[in-house]
Amino acid sequence: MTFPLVRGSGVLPVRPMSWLVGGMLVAAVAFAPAVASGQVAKSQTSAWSAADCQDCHDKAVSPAYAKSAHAKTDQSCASCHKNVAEHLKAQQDGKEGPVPTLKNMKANDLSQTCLSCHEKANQATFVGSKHARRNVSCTSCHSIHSPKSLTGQLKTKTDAETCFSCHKAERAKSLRTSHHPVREGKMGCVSCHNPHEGTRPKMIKAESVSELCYQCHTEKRGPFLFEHAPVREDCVACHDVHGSNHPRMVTQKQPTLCWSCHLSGSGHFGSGDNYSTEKGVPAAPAGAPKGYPTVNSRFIGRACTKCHLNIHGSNSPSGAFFVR
Amino acid sequence: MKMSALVAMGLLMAAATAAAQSAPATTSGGQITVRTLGTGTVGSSKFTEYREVPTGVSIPFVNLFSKGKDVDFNLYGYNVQQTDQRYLGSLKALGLGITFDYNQIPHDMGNGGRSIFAETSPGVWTLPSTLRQSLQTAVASQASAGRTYNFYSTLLAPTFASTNNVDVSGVRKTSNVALNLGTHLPFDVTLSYRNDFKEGYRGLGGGNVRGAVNPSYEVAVPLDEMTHDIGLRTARSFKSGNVYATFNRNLYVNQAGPLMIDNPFQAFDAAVVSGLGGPAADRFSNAPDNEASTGTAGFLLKFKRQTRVSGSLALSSRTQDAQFYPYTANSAVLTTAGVPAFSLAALPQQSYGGKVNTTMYNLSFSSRPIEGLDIRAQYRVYDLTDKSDKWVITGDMSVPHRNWNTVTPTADSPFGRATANVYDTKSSRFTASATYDIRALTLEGQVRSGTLERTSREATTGKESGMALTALFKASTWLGVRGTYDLGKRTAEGHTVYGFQADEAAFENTRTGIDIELTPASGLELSLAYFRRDVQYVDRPDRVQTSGGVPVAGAAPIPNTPSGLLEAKYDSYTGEVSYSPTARIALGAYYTYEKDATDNRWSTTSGANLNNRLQYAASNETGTFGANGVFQLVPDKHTFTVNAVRQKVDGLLDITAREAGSFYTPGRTGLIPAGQGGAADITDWDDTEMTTVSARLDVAMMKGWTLSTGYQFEKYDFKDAMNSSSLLMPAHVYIFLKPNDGAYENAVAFAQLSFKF
Repeated sequence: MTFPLVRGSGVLPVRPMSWLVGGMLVAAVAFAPAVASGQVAKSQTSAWSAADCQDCHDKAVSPAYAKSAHAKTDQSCASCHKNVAEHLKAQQDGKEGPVPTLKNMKANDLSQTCLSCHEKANQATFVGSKHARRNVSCTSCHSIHSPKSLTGQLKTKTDAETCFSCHKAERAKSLRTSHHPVREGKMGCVSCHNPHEGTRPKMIKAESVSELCYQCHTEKRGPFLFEHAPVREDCVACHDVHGSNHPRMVTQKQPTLCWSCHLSGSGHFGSGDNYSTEKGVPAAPAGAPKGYPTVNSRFIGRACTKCHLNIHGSNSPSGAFFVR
Repeated sequence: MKMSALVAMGLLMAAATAAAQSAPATTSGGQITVRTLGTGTVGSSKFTEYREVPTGVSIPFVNLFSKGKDVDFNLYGYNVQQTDQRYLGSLKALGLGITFDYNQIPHDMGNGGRSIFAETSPGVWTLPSTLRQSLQTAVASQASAGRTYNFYSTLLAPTFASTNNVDVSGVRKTSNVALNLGTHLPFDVTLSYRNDFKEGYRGLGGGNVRGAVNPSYEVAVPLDEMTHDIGLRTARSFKSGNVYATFNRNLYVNQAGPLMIDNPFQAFDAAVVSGLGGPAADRFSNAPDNEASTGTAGFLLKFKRQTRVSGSLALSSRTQDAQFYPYTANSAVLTTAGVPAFSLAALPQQSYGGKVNTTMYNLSFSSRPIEGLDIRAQYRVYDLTDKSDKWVITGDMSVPHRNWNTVTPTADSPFGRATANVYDTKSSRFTASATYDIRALTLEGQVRSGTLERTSREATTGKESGMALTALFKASTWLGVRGTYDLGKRTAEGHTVYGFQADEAAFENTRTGIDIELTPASGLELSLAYFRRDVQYVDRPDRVQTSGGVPVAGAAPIPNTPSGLLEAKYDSYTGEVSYSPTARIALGAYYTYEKDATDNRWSTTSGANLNNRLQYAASNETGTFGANGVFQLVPDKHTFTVNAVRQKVDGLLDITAREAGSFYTPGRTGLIPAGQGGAADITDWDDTEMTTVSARLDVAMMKGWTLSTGYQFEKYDFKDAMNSSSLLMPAHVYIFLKPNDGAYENAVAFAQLSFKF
């Protein structure tokens, strides 16, 4: 049995690194029919085709499947479903025979079926990945016969819907007021994650969280003359990337976010200037005019970043404290 | 028939004609959707934060495709000609394959901001010099004690009455193209190019332009930047594995100038004398141009029994060498050497010569030596090294930024300023796990161990260790259970007086999760999920008496006075049900409750004694409800869909202070009197509420034609006690734009016609 060089399915990422991979994969999905048809022309024989199964399994040979690269494989249905010939003969003879369904397979065995062609590029490290170890098989997310997504042959229209079926906390976070534009359809989970990834932490599409963020937020990459060290190490030290009710997706509202680290030392932290904020909303003095400020300056507006605006790092010669 | 409909029909007819003219062996077709939409006027930018909601006629979707022997293309278009338009697709011809994606993302961050400044050119915010002179004179004439809020409020009232409108928004335009050269080659070769162009405003910014007045001024920050990314990927697959290599070159160009803000209280540059003086305007630097090159190589080897060995190496170099801006825009300040600080000649070097190299290498092994047993091991190292061209800073205008400061290097700040130190980090981690299947039960155990190394931070070394246990149980098709317990620890060694900062401090991190999925009957699925993450920052030192930031010799720790972030917790509970009583009805609903909480502590001393002991316990409680129903009125023809989502977030900052502390000293205004106990909590702490309800009817009228109509209601509310005032100057002297990104309520109705051909 000769299998064509099907390069697998993939989503349409926006990030450069995965774009290289994903673009190749998507191109393969779109262009595989020409490749496959070339190979069929070469071999001149096709031991099995979808038409052999279609009479009984017309829903499985859906329009979406017929357009996909899977329909054009050398052995068609028999590429993935075993013992199809025996199954057909048994059905024709009215006898009980093998049932080539993949539904009852163990997750690992099912994934091995797909990986026989797709264990490369984005899927190269799926074996041993966290999803694989949690018995998430390829068909947990992908549909070969009735895909709903534009790319990647997912069971849902968008990758986020697929991911949220298990990752419910992230679903709730994506609805927060400060969020990446996932629910608007401008990004997806796969903009940052490769669900097949087996070696990188959190399945991200870069070697570190910061490098991942720099792919879109390149202005933060620096390096800067004056560095804010936690920023250089890890963006998620301050940001909740899946969504937050605080502006700019920070994990805690300012100034408490900054106070996680900066409650000591000189300047307005040690002088007592900062401590008056603990009073919350103090009362205005008697006779004060309407609008008298009852909020402390450390809390209002953008709090600390009202002055420390270049908090991710400054390249100004006077920017040692990120105020320039 | 209206003209717009005629045009639409014309488009559709043209497309149908094109299809009829295709070669017999070619499959081609497409779809076009035309919509007409009506909606109310919404003042808040939140309604259109990342989208355009066009009234009137629009084209939300178009698709054209053709699959033939020689040419194969597929084009999708969304929101055609709108600010949130997107086009993606693929083309194969002449043995080459191209995929492309153009994505436009608007970002509306606030409508109707009111600025006392005029933006005379991008990023340059000015006030008339005559106005600034009169404000300067008024401040100089007022004694310091009299410069109260009332004074500034009265002085600036005419200015606040004649502000300029600022809509804070930007747009990102991203183009991706990938060219697959390896269609007929025995290996894969893909060239890619990405262009990322952003323009408009980055968001709210601004800062302190100080003179006699110590203020903060909020303006909109200009955005005009371009990123180019060129990539090459090559890979070869063979029976027992594959190898790959990639290279990316990324160039970031900031085409916007620096942010310049006039000083409302200083008409001309002056040195500071007796508290008066300062710059007439000051400059805030923006992101410098930078570049990065990244190369990776990796391999995967396959052996029997699902044994895999994989490795990868990634090297990257990030550089930045943009021309510095001068120390200041104030022409009246001289450096210690007598050189005007606003001149480039005052700089010891004209650019940074910044360079950071990163190295990552990874080796992984996994195998299934016997049926049901999986073993896995991985070793990963990430190393970041700062190779920048540092120099010793002996003076700047960092703080206060209206005078020349002499800077003296110290052991902790050898380059003069701590933020100019060399920050290197290196982390390594080894992970091993074993998974075993016992019929329907899968058990996994994992251990991990790692090291952390840093330069120039308090915690110079640290160790990470952890273990995890996971159980998965699947009983046929009706019950699935997944439970996880993960305990991770990090230590921190180094030098600190008050405790390591939160991102480097020692902690114990516990993660617990359980998921239960039930299918009690055909068409009915229930799921329950719980997840908890609890990070306890251990070993926080008690407060000691200090002098000049240094512990006083012999000072004893004051009991029960740990400082910094002590704990961060997150809990989430979800219940979900989906029910399909018939093949034509699908119903679903879920509810998720979340609570995240942090505990920050700080203590102050008065001499050797405890003064204040403060606790800032922030929390957010969130309830999210979602429901949807899909009704196939006529299967595969007429569908009715309803959807509802509501999320409510209640934030709280619970503040507690020691009653015997100095904040209770009688005579200070605004204090909580002794005996009342505790400090006032802040209950509106970024509280939000979002409700969306929608309904849609799709009717297949005839072959290829679908008529849809829909309605969506949205309501958004936002409360924050600290920013509830609409005053441009809620405290002195802090002047804000106050753009509208707040509450709204609106409905949208649409009708659309789709033709698939």
